[in-house]
Amino acid sequence: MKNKNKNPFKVPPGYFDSLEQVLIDKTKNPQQLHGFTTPENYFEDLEYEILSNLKNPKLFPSKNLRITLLGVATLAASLAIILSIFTKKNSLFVEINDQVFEEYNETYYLDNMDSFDILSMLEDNEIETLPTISIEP
Amino acid sequence: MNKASFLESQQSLFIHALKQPSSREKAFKSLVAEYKERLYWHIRKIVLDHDDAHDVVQNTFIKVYLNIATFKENSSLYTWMYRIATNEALNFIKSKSTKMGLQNQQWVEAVADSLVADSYFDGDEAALLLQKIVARLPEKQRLVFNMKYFDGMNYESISEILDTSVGALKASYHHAVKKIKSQLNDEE
Repeated sequence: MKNKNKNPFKVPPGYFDSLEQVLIDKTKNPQQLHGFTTPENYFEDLEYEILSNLKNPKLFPSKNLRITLLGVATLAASLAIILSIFTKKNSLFVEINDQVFEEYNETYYLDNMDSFDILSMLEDNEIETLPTISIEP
Repeated sequence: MNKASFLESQQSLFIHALKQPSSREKAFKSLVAEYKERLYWHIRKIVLDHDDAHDVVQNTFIKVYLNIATFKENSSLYTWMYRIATNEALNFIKSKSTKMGLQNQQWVEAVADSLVADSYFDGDEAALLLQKIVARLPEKQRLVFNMKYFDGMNYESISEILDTSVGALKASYHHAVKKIKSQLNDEE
């Protein structure tokens, strides 16, 4: 290394030791290689959001699936109406349809409503005709 | 007990904790803490956009949570989660591209082209060009390239996640690198 003293350039003390670590860290951090970043504190918020979602873990269907389901439901309803108009022997079909509808209401619709919501859907005269409970012995 | 069997028994204990209702929540919390970043970056490199990656990573963890009881331990938990994340990301692209009447790859290329205006992309010109070229690769080659080049994963791990032989993965990576080099030369 005869020319060592002729080198006019210098580096800070321990530079190459830290450079090695900097390069290793850089290869470990993929965002510095591919350029993608995230909002500040994203991963702290993400953890909270994931754990909050688990209290009611439901996978939301994509918009396409929702549109498809709506289309199928509309088609089924249209078919039911056509059948009820043109078919005389439709009582069994209607009964099944009612049953399915009631089950749907109980399972998916009424679950999310409180008694006030349900009462607000009834007409006044319907509320008045609801059976009353006698407290007489 | 050697290191491999020790890790295996540790994993079994952890999976047991995930399956037990009494310990499930605590175990899942540490699972999220451990894997959220790795899975996010894996997904992000597939879907490219931050908001999309955010949706997919959440669905991934929900699926892990909902399906942990059926996890048979034929693979490591890490592999299983990566597989779910990969499938979720690919299904997301399929759903998005179908909605827009595009092929999957056309959609990915369009997203890559818009990275220049993405506030969550701060790569230099070279990084941007690389992303655009990687987006032009066929799906499998793109996955393999991302996992090998950016994540530094070994072929054995990628093989388990993508359920593809190591030989086929090496061929995919080789083809991907060749195409990228060729397109980089064309751009110069």
